[in-house]
Amino acid sequence: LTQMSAPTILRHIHLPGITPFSLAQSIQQRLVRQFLEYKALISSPSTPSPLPPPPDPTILTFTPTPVYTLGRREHDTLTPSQTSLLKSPLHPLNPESWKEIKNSNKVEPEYAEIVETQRGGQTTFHGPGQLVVYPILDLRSNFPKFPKGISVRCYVHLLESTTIATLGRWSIKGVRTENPGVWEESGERKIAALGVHLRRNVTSYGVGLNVQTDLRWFDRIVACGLVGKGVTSM
Amino acid sequence: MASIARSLRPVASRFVPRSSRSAPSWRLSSFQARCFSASSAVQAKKYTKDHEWIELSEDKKTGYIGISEYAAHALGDVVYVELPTTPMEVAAGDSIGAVESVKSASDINSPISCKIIAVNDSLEEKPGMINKGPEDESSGGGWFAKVEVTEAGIKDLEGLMDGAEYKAFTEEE
Repeated sequence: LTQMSAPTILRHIHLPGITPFSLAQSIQQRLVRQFLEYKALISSPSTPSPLPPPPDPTILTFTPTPVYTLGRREHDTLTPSQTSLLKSPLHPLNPESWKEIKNSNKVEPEYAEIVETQRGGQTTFHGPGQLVVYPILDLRSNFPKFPKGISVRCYVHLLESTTIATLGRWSIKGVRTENPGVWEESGERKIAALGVHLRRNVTSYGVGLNVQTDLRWFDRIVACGLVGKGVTSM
Repeated sequence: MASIARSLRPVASRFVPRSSRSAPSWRLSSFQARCFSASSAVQAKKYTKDHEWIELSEDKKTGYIGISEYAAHALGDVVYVELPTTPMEVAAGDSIGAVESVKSASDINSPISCKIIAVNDSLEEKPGMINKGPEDESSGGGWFAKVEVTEAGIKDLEGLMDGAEYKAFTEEE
């Protein structure tokens, strides 16, 4: 039973521009697979010696094409009318001048796809104007601040703290409520959604932080299943 | 009486498809018997590094799977349980469902190769039962699935930890 040595690097992979959501998902899946294969390798009867180094914990950041993602509990729960609402076009906001129309690429309406994921949590929206942050790491590693690994609850708390600290750098006060995620000061509107998947303690998915997201996309859903609560952006 | 017993325990009739109408009430009392004579009638629990447990029946032909006290405590309040459909043949390490807490869905993997023949449906309505009795395989407990053990499964058991080893393992964490 070998203790994995402390990871010294946190790798950051940023996908520039707007990325198709499915592409970001497949990159994420590859990273997860590296971790799972490593786990299988070190617990197999024929473990190589010396051990190869473990995969680097990685943070994947990107801005996807418009997409509504569903958590595990929601698979096959959308009605045909809900599906057609989510897939209906979102028309660009009225430009203030003809000049804007001429220069803008956004005269065409946009469409969102619907993707079922394996993460926890319910329905949320990701798209242009939002920063999606997916850390892929093994919670059972020996980290400098957590030498015995991190529990799921501590990890979620850490994702929230990090998001709050990030907002703080832009002088925005983010708060926690009894529901996971990060909210603006009054706790009425969510500024960052959270949902994680764990396979053998390897994390995937994470946080969606609204920077300049077109909040109209959120009007079509009860974001994260919380009736009566709103959504906001930085 | 039998029909009342059947409506109270719809899952019981799935265990033995060829059972007669009186079987469900008989089966209820056999679960209770299992509770009282836990240590001698069943094999001791074995654990995986990912905090799942398996407990075999005395004849080693069937068993129960669940998550450990340690895992249930680490997860916090379970709000949703994803159960497998039955029957399902799985290899050791295959994902058989998930438990969700704090917006995190943690996969549950089968500790051994086996065939899942029943699941604890009560967890769909009351996922919190996992927190109350994660290692309890009685009818009111938080067990996850009931399985039929295959040859390969008996071998897989050898790689798992017993109670004492598991306790030491969790203390290391």
